[in-house]
Amino acid sequence: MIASPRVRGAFDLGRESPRMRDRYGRNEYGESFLLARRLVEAGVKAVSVTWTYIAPNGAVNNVWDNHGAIASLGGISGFAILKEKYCLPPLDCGLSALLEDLADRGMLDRTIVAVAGEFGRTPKINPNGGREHWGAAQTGLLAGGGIRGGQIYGKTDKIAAYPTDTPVSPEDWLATL
Amino acid sequence: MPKLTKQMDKVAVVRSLSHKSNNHEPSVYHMLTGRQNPALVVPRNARTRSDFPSFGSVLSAFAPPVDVPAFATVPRPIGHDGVTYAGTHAGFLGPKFDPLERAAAKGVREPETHPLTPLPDFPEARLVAREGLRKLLEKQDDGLQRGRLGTTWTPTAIGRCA
Repeated sequence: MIASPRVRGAFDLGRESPRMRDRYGRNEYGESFLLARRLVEAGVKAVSVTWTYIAPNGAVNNVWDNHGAIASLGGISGFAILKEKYCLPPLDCGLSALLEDLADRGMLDRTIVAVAGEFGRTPKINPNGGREHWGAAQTGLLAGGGIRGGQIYGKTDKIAAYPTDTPVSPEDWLATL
Repeated sequence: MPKLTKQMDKVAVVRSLSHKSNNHEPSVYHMLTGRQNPALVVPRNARTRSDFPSFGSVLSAFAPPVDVPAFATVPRPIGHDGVTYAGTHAGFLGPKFDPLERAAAKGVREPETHPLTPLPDFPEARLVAREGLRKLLEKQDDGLQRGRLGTTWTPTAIGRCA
């Protein structure tokens, strides 16, 4: 089954145009989003893309676990980490390309894209410009599969610490998928 | 994120996603399986066959069978401190519903669930031998079925009865 030409073919990103590959981003995560689209086209029902940045020296960097001042990333501030080539910029490229591409191909109506972390981050910023773990509130993104775009669902208090309206549990989240 | 901004007409922003844990391991498990297990802490959060299944494995179990894996994980499952996290495979649903994993988590001892390349201790010759054995068994079974029944049964058309 794994050796089937359809699956092997889906993993061959060389079949995509250079333009499409640039659009998703030529990095492990942009390519994972592109692979996700190719796997779904090949008949795969669910693709999980998990993002930890593997540095060229093989070091595992949990770039979204942004407490700031991560030694293996040069000890820069949390906000500086977000702007680096392994954090928000490739997410911006890859995720926007995926949404646009799925829509262009007429696949978005029957494909759900769900983006979340395992938890949010503390409302208050620490001295390293980072934030700690915070399960009580995070922002997730949902698109496609008949979900109405351009809407905001749920509310938190003024420092984004706790939901004040329609809390969404992981169970709700998964049941929606 | 200027590029994502232009696609927000397609996106619902859920601001109130919420649960009670501030620890990686139980939170990953809760978000991927919908179940809570506060006892999951590295290194005791390795995947086991008593775990609840990842959402994709549940989908896999209910989806009509197709000739490709129903669930895939790229570029690799969540792993840290030498452990591939509970919540990332099929758990008690069994290996049949595990995700196809392109690669193992970095720095963990466990291999990926369904590697694209055969494991070192599972050479292609063994795969070919297994396939040959399967064909042989099928042929023997086919022969036995024929031998016992003589011919395949063809239902009688509706007609007379005594």
